[in-house]
Amino acid sequence: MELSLLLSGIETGAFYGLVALGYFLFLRATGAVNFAMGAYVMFAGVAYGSFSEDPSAPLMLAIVSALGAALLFAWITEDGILRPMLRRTHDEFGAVMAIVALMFVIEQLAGLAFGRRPILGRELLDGTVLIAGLAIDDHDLLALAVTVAIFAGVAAWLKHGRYGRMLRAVGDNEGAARALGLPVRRVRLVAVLGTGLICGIAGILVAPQTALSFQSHLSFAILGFIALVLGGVGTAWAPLVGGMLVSAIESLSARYVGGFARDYVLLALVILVFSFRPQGLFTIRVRA
Amino acid sequence: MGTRKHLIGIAMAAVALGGTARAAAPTGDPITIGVIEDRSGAATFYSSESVKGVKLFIDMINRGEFLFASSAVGTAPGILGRPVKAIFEDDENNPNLTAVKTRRLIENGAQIIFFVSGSGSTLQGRIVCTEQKILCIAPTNVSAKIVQPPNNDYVFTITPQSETASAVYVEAWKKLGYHKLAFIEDESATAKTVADAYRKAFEAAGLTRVADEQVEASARDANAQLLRIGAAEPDVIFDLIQSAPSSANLYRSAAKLGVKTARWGTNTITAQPKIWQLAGDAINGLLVVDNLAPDNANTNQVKAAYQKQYGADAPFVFLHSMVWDALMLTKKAAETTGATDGTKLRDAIETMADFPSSYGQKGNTLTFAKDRHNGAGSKGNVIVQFAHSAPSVVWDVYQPN
Repeated sequence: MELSLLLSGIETGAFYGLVALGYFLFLRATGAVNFAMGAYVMFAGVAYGSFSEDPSAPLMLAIVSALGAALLFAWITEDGILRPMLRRTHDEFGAVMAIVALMFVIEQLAGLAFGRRPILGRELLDGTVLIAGLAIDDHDLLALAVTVAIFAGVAAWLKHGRYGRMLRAVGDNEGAARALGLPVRRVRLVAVLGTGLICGIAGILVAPQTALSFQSHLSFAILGFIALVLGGVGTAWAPLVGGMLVSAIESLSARYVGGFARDYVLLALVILVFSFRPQGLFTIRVRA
Repeated sequence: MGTRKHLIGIAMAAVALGGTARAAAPTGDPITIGVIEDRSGAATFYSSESVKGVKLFIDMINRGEFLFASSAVGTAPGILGRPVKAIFEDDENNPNLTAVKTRRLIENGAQIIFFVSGSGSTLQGRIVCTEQKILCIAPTNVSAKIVQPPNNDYVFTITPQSETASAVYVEAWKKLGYHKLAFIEDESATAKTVADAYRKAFEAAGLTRVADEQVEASARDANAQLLRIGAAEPDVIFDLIQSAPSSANLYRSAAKLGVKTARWGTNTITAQPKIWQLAGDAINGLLVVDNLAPDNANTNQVKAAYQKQYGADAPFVFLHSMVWDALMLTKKAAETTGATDGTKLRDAIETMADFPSSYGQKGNTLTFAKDRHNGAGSKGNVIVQFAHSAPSVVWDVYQPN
């Protein structure tokens, strides 16, 4: 594989991995697949892009608005939609539909608030480095480093953190966790806000890499979900592996078959995974 | 006292004269132009530019400001002495929605339809024009199919068609000794319509297509496509991408990969200032068969009016000029026939020749006939090169005439 393709593949895979990590944490906390994840990322990215377009505008305002928006949407999803719904009924399909509706609400809100034009955010770091003759933006390297740090942080939190360990218990069996007196609601909320934070950061990182519009969220949601399906939910690192796989398939199919082939190859792979290994590459091992 | 009376008399006479010199404001029921635009699809970024033109130029018509076109349309404000207004419908650049939205515009009172969404949309919308016998103009669409049978009876276009532009590309590339061509496009309906026309024309001219790449709408870069193109060793990369983010990604990827192959694109790029902004310096060097020439006085008059309204830095693109021309044609046709009946308007436009245009090279005019519903003249195209992230240099190697 050409170096340029490898580097852009890693960069893209890291982004898909972050979106998939959002899915992973939300799924662990609530048991629901949150298709609004792409919308959190899009809104945060478009907000960051809008506030940072003007070079004289303070970058901190753009960062805070992006993170604040993603956290707010995550909180609304849990405390405004999921929890009240599941308190009345255990219809998970209804909950997923409500989340999908929220996704389109966020899309339209982004269009209203920031316009329907594409927006490119300001890079967090200026400058480029040359790697084997290829110019790599400092921002891209930073994005990669931040992504790895987030994955390491989440993995350590799940393993050693108080709430992280409780999240594993809540995710494995919420009823049992409740019976043991664990603060289930608080644990869920912490994890859900964690997904908001991750999506906010993903939005900030991706906004300078590609022009975002209010409609960008659908591809983020789909590709992030595919990354989760491929990687599985066995470890916190599984979404990153899934993201890298999706990106590699994208790049390789576009390079060696043609740009038109990406969606066909990806969807064929998803069908294969659902048919032969629905648990993904990494699975949770529970001691007997 | 006598002097004072004298002065008052002069002042009153001046006021009276001034009042009669200013043409009366248009009155009566407004003439409604229905506009099919794209506010959320792949054509948003150029459709929105056209809409800005529609709004401003209708205001100018109502104020009686016709600039150079007054030689053809006179100076009476409005059309037929009546005010003009526009109503809008968003077809999302989805041809499946265009016919429905066009019908809705007509139900809401539109007497004339302007299509400023993609060519693919107009191909569907024109069916309603024929059904309802209503004048339709697609000022900015390049597809020749729009004015070809069937369902072309009531639809007109103004911009040079892709076939005309393709002849300019072929001539320019012959001068540069290019033979091998790489296509890159996106998956939009408009890109496909336009690309098919160019493919046919280039193949007929003997050019060899060595690569044919597609960029997915959600792709973050075009590295893989550019590497495939590089392996095919074309003389020129021809960009047919319609979406602004994808187009900008192409140039950013090309800059990162250090692509040296000559890059040419269509006027979709010059039509979308957003692409220039998103691509930054990466777009410099790109050559485009555009439709604006810096030395065309007609263009400059419309540009000055546009920038007076939207700011001195607001990019003025050929779409604005073509929308202006479409509105002037509409006024001329309506006032020639004294009606807004679609058939009479169509017949009037079919007799117009050498109508003064605001785009193209100096002296460009529009001419229509019963079998010629695209009015573009031979001087409608101008080859420009991007420098300082804008199409600012008229190419000195070759210009069509």
